[in-house]
Amino acid sequence: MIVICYDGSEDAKAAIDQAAKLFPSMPATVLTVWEPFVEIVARTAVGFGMVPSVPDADEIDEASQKAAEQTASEGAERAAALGMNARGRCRSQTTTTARAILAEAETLGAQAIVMGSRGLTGVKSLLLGSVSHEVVQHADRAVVVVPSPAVIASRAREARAEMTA
Amino acid sequence: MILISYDGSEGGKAAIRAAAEMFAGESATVLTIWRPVATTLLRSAGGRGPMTGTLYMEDTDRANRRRAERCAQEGAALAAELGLDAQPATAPQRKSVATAILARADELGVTAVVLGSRGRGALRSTLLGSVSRDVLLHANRTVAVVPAPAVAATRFGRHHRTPMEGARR
Repeated sequence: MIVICYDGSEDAKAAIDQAAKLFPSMPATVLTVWEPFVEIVARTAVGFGMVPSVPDADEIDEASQKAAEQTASEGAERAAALGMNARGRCRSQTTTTARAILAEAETLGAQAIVMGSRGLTGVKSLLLGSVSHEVVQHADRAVVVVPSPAVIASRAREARAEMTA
Repeated sequence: MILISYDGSEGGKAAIRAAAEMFAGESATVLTIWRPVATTLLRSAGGRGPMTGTLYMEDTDRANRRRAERCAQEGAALAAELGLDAQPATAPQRKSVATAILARADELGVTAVVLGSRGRGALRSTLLGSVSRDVLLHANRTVAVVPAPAVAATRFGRHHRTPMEGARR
C-alpha cells in the first residue's frame, strides 16, 4: 500500500498520474492534510494583536475538514480513473504538513510515500518551506518524489544553459 | 526500467530491497559510480603540484573501475535474488555523483531513480553534500529515496511520534 499526498495542485495531480504508472497494482490512499484554525493563528502570530471579532474556530475547522475531504476524494477519483485501487483520506496537522504525512504513513503501514515537488531551491525554499524536502529528511520509509511538469521543463532549461555556458 | 544507485553501503542495499518491493519484476540497472583520479585531483587542487605521471593515474582508474564493477555486480545479484530483472553498470563521476547518476538515467530513459539516503542532518548535509539531496534538486524524473535501516530506526516512528496528531476520518 502506498500513500499519495494530494493538495489539489497541478504538482499533486502529476504525482497521482505518475503513481498510477509506476504502481498500477498497489492499493493507494490519497491523503489530504489540513491545518486546524488554532494552528494557523499560532503560526501567523495573529494572536498577538487585537482580534476584532473572535471567529468560530470549530466552524472554520469543519469547513477546512470538509474541503480537505472533498480534495482527497477528488484525488482518489483521479487515481481510480487511472486504474488504481484508491481511497481518499484526510488528516489534520498539529505541527507541520510533513509530520502529518509521516504519521499517516505509519498508521497505515505504507510501503512508500508518493509526493509531488514544486522544485523550490535556495532562498525560496527556505522562505516557503518544502514539504517534500522535510518528508525525505525525516522519513523512515521510501519516499517517491515526482517533479511536476513545470519543474522538469525549468530544469531542462537550466541544463541547456549550463551546456552552452 | 528503473535505475538503482548502489555504492555497497547499507543505504544502497536498503534501496535495492525497497526497489524490489515497489517495482517487483521490473527490469533494473544497478549503477555504481566511480571517481576518476583526475576528478579527485581537481577537487583537492592537488593538480597544482608536480604530477606523478599519467600511467599511475590510468592504473588507479582501472582499479577503481574494476572495484565499481564488482560492487555493481554484487548489487545486481542481490536485486536478481529479490526478483528484479537486474543488470550491473558503472559510470565515472562527472561534476558530481548526482550528475553522473542523472546522466545515466537520461541515457537509459528510466521511469524512476532509486537511491539510498545516508540521512545526514541539516548542517552536515550542507557541509558535506548529500547525493540524494543533489539528485532531488536536479532530477527531471521520479526519484525514490530510501533511508538506510539504521537511519530509519532513529527517525520519525521512534522518536517523533506525536500522539495528538489524530486522523479525523
